[in-house]
Amino acid sequence: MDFDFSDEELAFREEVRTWLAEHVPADKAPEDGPAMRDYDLAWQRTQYDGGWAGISWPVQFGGRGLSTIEQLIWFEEYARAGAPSIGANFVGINHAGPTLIARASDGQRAAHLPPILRGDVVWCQGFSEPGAGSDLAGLQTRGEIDGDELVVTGSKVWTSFANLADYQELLVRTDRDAPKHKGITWIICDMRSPGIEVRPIRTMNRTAHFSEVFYDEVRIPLANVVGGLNEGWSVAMSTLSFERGTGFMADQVELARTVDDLIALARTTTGPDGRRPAIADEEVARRLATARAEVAALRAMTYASVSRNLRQQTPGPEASISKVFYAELQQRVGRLAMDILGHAAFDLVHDPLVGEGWPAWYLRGYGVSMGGGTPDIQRNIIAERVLGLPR
Amino acid sequence: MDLLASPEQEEIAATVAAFCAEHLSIRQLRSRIGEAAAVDPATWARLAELGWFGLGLGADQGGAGYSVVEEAFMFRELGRCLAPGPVLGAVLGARVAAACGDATRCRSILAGEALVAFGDPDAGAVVGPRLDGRLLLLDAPGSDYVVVCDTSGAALLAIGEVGPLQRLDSLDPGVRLATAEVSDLAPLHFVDAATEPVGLRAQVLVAAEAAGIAEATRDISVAYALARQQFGKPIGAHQAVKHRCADMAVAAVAASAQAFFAALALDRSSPDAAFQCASATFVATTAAMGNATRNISNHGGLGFTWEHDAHLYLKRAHLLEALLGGRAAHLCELLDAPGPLTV
Ligand SMILES: Cc1cc2nc3c(=O)[nH]c(=O)nc-3n(C[C@H](O)[C@H](O)[C@H](O)COP(=O)(O)OP(=O)(O)OC[C@H]3O[C@@H](n4cnc5c(N)ncnc54)[C@H](O)[C@@H]3O)c2cc1C
Repeated sequence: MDFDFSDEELAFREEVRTWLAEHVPADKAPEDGPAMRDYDLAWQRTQYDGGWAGISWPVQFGGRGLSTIEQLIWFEEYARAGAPSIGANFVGINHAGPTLIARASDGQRAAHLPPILRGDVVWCQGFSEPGAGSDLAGLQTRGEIDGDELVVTGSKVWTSFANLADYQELLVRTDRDAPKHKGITWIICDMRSPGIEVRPIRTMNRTAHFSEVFYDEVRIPLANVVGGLNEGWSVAMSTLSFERGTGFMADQVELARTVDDLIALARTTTGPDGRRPAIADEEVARRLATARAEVAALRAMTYASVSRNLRQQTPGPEASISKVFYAELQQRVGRLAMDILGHAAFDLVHDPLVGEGWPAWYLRGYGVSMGGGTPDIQRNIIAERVLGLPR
Repeated sequence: MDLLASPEQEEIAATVAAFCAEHLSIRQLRSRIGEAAAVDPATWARLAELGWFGLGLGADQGGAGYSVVEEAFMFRELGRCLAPGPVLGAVLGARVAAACGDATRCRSILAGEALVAFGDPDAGAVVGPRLDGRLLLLDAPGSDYVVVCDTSGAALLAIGEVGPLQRLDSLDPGVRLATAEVSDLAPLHFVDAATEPVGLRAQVLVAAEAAGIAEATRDISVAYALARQQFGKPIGAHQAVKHRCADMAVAAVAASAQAFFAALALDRSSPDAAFQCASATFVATTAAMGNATRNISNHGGLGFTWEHDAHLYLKRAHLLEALLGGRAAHLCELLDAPGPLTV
């Protein structure tokens, strides 16, 4: 057990820090729409030009091929530099790309991986349906084989960035007689295909973060199937295990910075007594201190999972533990920000220089905790797969 | 960077666990309730022989040459089985003696000949070259010395120097508790925290012990959730119990991760060591309390009995949480100490 970084790792940190200091955009990300797409893709392109695209992707697929520990360093420096959150690039870089790397054919990889890295395209994830959320394997969107095409009919919901996306990783039911996990296919869907209708859904945060997507006999070449017909469940699981692995490292590291920002805010904002700064209020001070301690523990947990990852390679169900801890902590920190702001909490600011304000960050937490499996589902995973309790 | 145990550290933990299971188990804790000392002299001598008290002291001081990290591994195991006896006092007392160049006293503590009670200062007590205030003493009967520490420094005093002991009818039957007053007393030794941060070490070891409680109560709950049947299935299949167990797992992982992170920070004298140690004590004692409480819920009526161990874990968790200034003190440090992003 040690937590010293090697000389190479320290040099790497220096390299990352220098590069980020020179390249992180001064203006903040727009909250949604085409402006957000442009901003996020431009930032992806900047990282690509600097050799920092796909830091976790293997070099042979155009990525940077960083070790988990280097990724950790990258994310720490990324948070320190206040670099933009991954935004619309999330699915391409963190879901679809890694899935293609794990399961796609050479041709599929050659066609899709470079544009993701270059920031040419946005991907979205079409998994959840009105009738299939936590119970994802209950999905009903149909895919019927017709010649060398799959004809897709049905609907998806909560699809993040569907209104901005070029491609979608789509799960459809291709065998209705098979047991529910067996009849699913993972296919690459061009979002411009005839028969697709995207209807953005406004979130509680007012942004059009996600959409409903309707498919009316959408014809997708069978050549777009990844991992084989009816093999989609295992293909989808390779994405989820990635998501539960390093996919959330950035958020976890970022939260430490956020709490320190909040402490700074509490020193300058007038507190509940209308005279002294908020931090002079005992309750506020305690809650801030608690958050700071818990963020330290989150970091220690992240370091421990990185260590486990270095020894075992594939992320295990233990990642659900960090996720539950993170989701609850993030929400407590958001609540605290609201309390510190007092009346100012009711101004939903979004400033191109400052970015998303505290109230919007707070509200966003309600969605963040649900993506990739609700805390309840994470608890089921912990209990059944880590502790061995019965289903 | 590697936050997992090395094979050697795993072996230390396994050795401690095996010895505890045989000689310092809850069965022994219970059988000695009412006895003057928590551990019989023969067992104490065995612990000394095994080198437990000097695990983190240099070989030149009679220790094993490991660090606070290995001490944390030991304390996590002690916490897991609620091992009785003044081990914390011995480890910290020997360290103060060593830091003050008192090789004779250090060796007699390491040899198990002299016993050291841990003296926890009340809020408002002064720890310095002159001591003042009230102390809560852990396992004072039979002790020769008292070690007192906070974040400013640590003192070693002879047990005879503290005022008359007020024995308490201890809430925690595994620890003999007493209070005593000292007023304007010059201790045998005092060492400044800048020279030897004994107070931070105490925070790490208490955190590790608390993490052990968080883990043990999780494991006891999981075993019971598999064994106990209601409504025709193991209670662990009922989601309320299942999710409580999951929450116990989350708390235990957080506690252990932060306890060891803090141990490493202290060992390296990182600029954020004080912050990391305070975080560890706070997170781990909170986890121990939370898990001890959930463990009682998971056991139904059995959890309320004297016969079941659940209350022993709860009471020890309360005691650990109250030590070293308690939650309020840790929280004060947490807000102002330089953290990882500011260093
Ligand atoms: C911001 C955001 C972005 C998202 N982006 C995407 C995306 O890009 N692509 C995509 O496919 N999906 C996306 N989702 C959907 C997300 O994956 C689902 O919302 C989530 O899996 C829950 O499904 P549901 O909404 O149908 O809720 P339900 O599954 O209906 O759950 C409702 C409640 O019941 C609980 N519950 C359900 N089953 C169980 C059980 N077995 N045990 C205990 N409790 C249970 C849940 O925890 C929850 O509290 C997104 C969601 C959000 C909030």
